[in-house]
Amino acid sequence: MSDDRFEAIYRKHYARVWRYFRGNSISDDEAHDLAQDTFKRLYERMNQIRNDDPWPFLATIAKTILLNRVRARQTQKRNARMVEIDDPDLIFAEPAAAEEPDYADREAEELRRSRLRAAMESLPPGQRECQRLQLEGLQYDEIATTLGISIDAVKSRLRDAKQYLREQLGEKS
Amino acid sequence: MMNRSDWQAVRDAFIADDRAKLGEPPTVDELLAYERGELSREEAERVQQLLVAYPELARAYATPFPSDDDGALPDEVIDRQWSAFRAANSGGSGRRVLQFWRGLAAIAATVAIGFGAMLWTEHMERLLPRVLPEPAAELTPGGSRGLPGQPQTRITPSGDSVLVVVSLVGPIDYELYRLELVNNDSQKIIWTSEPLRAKSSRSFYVEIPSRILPDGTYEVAAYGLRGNAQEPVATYTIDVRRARAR
Repeated sequence: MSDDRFEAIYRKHYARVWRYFRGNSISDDEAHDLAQDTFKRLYERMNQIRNDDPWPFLATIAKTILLNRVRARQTQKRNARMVEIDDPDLIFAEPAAAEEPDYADREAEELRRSRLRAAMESLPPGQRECQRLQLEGLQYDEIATTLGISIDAVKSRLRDAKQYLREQLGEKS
Repeated sequence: MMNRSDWQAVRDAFIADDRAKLGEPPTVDELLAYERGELSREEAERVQQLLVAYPELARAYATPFPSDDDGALPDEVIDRQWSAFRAANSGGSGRRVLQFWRGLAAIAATVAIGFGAMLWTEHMERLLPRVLPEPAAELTPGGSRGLPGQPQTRITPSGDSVLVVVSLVGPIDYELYRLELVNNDSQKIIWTSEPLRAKSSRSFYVEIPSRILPDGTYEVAAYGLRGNAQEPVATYTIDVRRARAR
């Protein structure tokens, strides 16, 4: 593929790729870095493009880069350094903790949370997954994509889940 | 009524439990295979559970691509990014040339190692005891046997090499001799020996690799060396014919 054609592809799709990264709460500058990385990989694999439209290939590269970035951060969190309780690094320059709630408040809080957890756990798995993903801020279409179901199915499961939780927790709709 | 921190605490507990139970987040390859519907039902369910346990990954996985109509970046931004891209990747052809030479060097190194290994193997084999083949023929100078002009001795190679015994007859003694093997058909000299000191038996044992003896007629010539001069002493004709497979 000629450099002219690559430049045309770059100019046509750069903004779309950049907005894709920005849509994942990534800063302007880092989104530019990731977009450049996407096009660099495309440039190195131009001979693998099978048809005239490079977008599907470009989109897969962008998605791979995004997922790798998020996954690496998740793995880093899991592998964060363990510290001993008397480790001198185990000092956080944070303001003093708020005043502890009294015993009765703590007990009431634990009771509420255990009821909530029990109610969530007793949901059918499909409803519980939808409910948890919605708690994470995912939209209907994103939940549907994640679980491989239709948007209508997501709405239906969420409606049933909320109804069930209200009944279990004694809350009015 | 639950408050926000209750939901948060239960959410955190679910995530912690799931991660402890399910392990690492799914790999990108798994996610792309899941997206393409290439996983078995069990594998797909596991990926779904992991996505729920790693909601940041689920969010990234599910993020839709914006459409072309969602707004463009200003031209100057694209120009700046394109210039930066070109600057960072302008060495493409240079890198390809470098990759070519690196590839060539790798191939050369591989060949050299292989060749070295062959030489080493051959060298080591030479250091080991070796049983010589039975003499295929004891050569006597032309004219002593058989019809004039006809091959004197027939040899049928059957192994890696044939051993011939070149016997010198006649009254003239030289301190040094030299032997030559000539293909009679092409008149090409196949092999010339170093100067050889005559033994009391006046015979030389010559081991000839079979691969340099295709079927045909050959002449072994013996020369006597005197100073810088050499004089023909005897010639021996051999006819090489391999046994035909039945």
